[in-house]
Order: sequence, then C-alpha cells, then structure tokens
Amino acid sequence: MSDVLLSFTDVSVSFKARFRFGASEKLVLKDVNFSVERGQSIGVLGGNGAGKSTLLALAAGILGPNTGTVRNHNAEVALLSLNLGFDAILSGRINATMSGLLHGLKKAEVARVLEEIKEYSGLGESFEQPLYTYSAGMRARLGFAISQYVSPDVLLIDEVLGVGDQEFRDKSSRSLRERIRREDQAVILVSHNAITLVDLCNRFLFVNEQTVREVSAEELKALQDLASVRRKEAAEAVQEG
Amino acid sequence: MNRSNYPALLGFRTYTDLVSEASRTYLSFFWWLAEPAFQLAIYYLVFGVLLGIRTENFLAFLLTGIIAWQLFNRLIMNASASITRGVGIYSKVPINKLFFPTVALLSDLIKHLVVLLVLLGFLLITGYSLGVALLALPLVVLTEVVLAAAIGYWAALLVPFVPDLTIVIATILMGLMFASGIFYDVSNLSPEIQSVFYLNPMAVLIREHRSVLLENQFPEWQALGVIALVSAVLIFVAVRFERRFSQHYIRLVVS
Repeated sequence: MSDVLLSFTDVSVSFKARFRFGASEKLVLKDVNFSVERGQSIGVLGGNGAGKSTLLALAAGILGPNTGTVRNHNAEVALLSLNLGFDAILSGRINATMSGLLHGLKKAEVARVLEEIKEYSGLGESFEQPLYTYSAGMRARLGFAISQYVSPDVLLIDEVLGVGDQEFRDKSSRSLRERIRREDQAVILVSHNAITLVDLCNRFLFVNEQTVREVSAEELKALQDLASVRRKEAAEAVQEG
Repeated sequence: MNRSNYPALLGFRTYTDLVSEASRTYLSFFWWLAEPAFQLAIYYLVFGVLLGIRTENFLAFLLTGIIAWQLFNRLIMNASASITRGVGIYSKVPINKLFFPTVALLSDLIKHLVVLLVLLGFLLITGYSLGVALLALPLVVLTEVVLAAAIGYWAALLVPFVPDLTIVIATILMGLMFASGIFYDVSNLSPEIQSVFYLNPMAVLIREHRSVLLENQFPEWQALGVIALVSAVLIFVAVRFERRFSQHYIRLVVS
C-alpha cells in the first residue's frame, strides 16, 4: 500500500503587487502535479526565483494556491527554520523552547531534549545567556541543534546543509544526511546544487519557467551544467555591457 | 500547526513576551505601574488643577477611569500590530493568525491585573470601603477584555491588508478617550446627551468600573450582557475570516 502524505493537483500560484490597481499578476508556478510518499526524499533543483521556496510554502500549508489543490493526508509537515521565533534579548534556553514548540514539538518533548540541545549545540554556559551575545555561528548552531529534534512526517529543507564553523559543519551535514535517508518519513530538499541532491535524494524535481517536472538523476546533473553555463554567459554579458 | 500545541504555545509566548519587554528597559516591571501613575499625574494637573474639574474624590475617580481606559487602549493598539509583527513566524509555520493578537491580549491582561491590585490597595488606603459589589469586578473586566478582543482581532486581521488602518485606529482611540468620561462625570451631562454618550461601550464600562469600585453598586447587567454578546459575535466572525484567509497573509509579504 502506498502511503501518500501530500498530493499536488493542477496547482498554480501567482502573486500580485499589493494595492497597485491594475498591476498584472506574476505567474510563479503553473499546473504542478506530484505527490509525496513516505520513504521518499525529493530533491528540488531550480535557479533563483524559479519558485522553489513557493513550492515548499505550499507543501507546508503556509501558502494556498490560486487554483488547484494541495492535499495533506493527515501528515505533519514542518519547514526547517534555523531561527524560528528567536528573540535576541532572551536566553538560548528560552529561545530553544520557543522554537521547539513552534516547530510542533510538545512541551514535554521540548523539556526532555533541552539538555541534549545544549549538548549538541556545544554552546556550554552561553546557552543561558541572551542571544544578542551570540555570534552568527553560535546562533546557527543553536537553531540546528533544535531542528535535530523536529521529526514530522514530511520534512521540508531549504538549503541548510551544514552551518557554523568547519567542525560543526561536518557534524551538522552528517546528521542531516542520516535524517534524509530515514525510511519512516518523507523529505523535500531544495538546493542550487545538483551533486548534493543526487547524493542525498531518490526522486528529483526540476523547477524552471513556472513548471515543475520530474527528472532522473542524470538529467538533473545535465540540467545543472546547462544552468551554470547560462549563468556564466549572463555574467559575461553583464560585464561586457 | 498541531491544534493541541496551542495552549502550551500561548502560555509560553505570553511569558516570553512579558520577560522580553521587561528586559528591554532598565526599570523593567516597574513601568507597569509607573506608566499609569505618570498619566494620572498629568491628567490630574490638567483637568483637576488647571481646568478645575471637581467631582467628588477626583483622584480616585480619575484613576479608576484611566486604568479602565488603559487596558482597552493597550489591548487594541498591541493587538492591531501583532500579526504584522508575527511575519517571521507565520512565514515559516502554518499558524492560526489569531495566535498573535491573543498573545498580545494575554500579556496586557496580566499587566493590568497587577495594576488593578495596586488600585485596590490605593482605594483601601484612601478610605474607600470596598464592598460586596467588588465581586462583580472580574465580570466587568472580562466584558472589557471581550470587547477589546473583538475589536483587536479585527484590527489585527485587517492591518496587514490595509496598513493605513493603524493610523485610523490610533485616531479613533484618541477621540474615544475624550468621549468615555475619564476626566468628567457623564451623569452631569443632559439626559439626551447621555443617551448618545452611552452608545460608546467604553463609556458604559468605565461607569461600571466606578459603580463597582467607588460606589459599591452592582453593575447594570443588561448593558454588560449586550456588550459581551455583540463582541462574541464579532469574535466568531473573525475566527471564520481567519480560517478563510489564513493562507493569504503570506502573499502580502511576498508581493
């Protein structure tokens, strides 16, 4: 029996500039059809502004489509976010609790893993200090440590592989890799980098010119090469211009 | 967002809101009391001393009015900005947008309860004999909170669509403040004017605060009931509105 968690049917999204009467709608995604099943890890590749983040927002239920439907089959969906609900004036401990609750953890679960979060983040006594005393790296470590304990049915990741200094970067990308390969959930991972996606995922979507289509690993690599050639050309054109 | 998480989230967010706000100033929690005290001093000087408005026990009369008004004013101002401020959260999590004004209401209510306790202490010290009518105070306060929630929810829901409303709301509140009988006794006005005056629910609620606190008289239940009922309907429709447009708010940020 297939275990479908999310299904997109003929989904289109467009945005309109606010309160500019007569402003034209900008189409972002058109007729998107795919579904997400348990055990799948879906890699999404696309250029800047191609609609990758919009796709994640739809999957998370943050954004509704203009036409078509995004159906959630009673799945818990969470978008990994490294500084969700952070307040700079409050301590790492309080922020970790808030972020955990917002990510959908129960209060008792958060209480249980707080010490582990402190441990994993490697913040030591800084865990009790306000966030404004943290460096960017420390904040990222705290955020990542919390996200370790978020385990929904569908995990959405928007390019957060590896954060912090080199040592933490290795540690964090290792744990993320393990999680993506887990069988009891589904993952949608968005990236600019086809190599990473091919390495981590077992299904691939390519987002380009408002359309989303399913591709094979080989196609995905070829598309990345094409995209980087285009970017190079565009950069040269700018320089010459 | 899992529905069962909301109670814990509301409680914790209210707590962190209060701590966060207090941590931003040197005098932190002291401001909860200092702010109404300074307002009292200014109004007393202007209306009591310079303009010579004198009702019986002007200080207690004024203080009760100011404190009752401040709750309403704060609840609505803070609620109206709350969804707009919550963008960092609602752009990452599918959360009920009314979560944000509810947190604002709860944290303002907690501050208000502290101020109310001090007011009661002040009344006792200055020789008021608080009587059985005091038992009705929670209901008077609750009616005010429900009224402010109704208006605050709608303000919060609509401000992201029409940011200009923030200015409109501030202006209306300013007007209402002068029309709620904070500095003067409405019963001194002519009966025709009074009947128009009490169409303003805050004028009614301030009157009821004074009945309960200063005159040891039970409030007019019917007036409170009407305010609570109309507010409840408004809240119900706000909940429906949120459900319908919840996934639309992110569009206001992106575009």
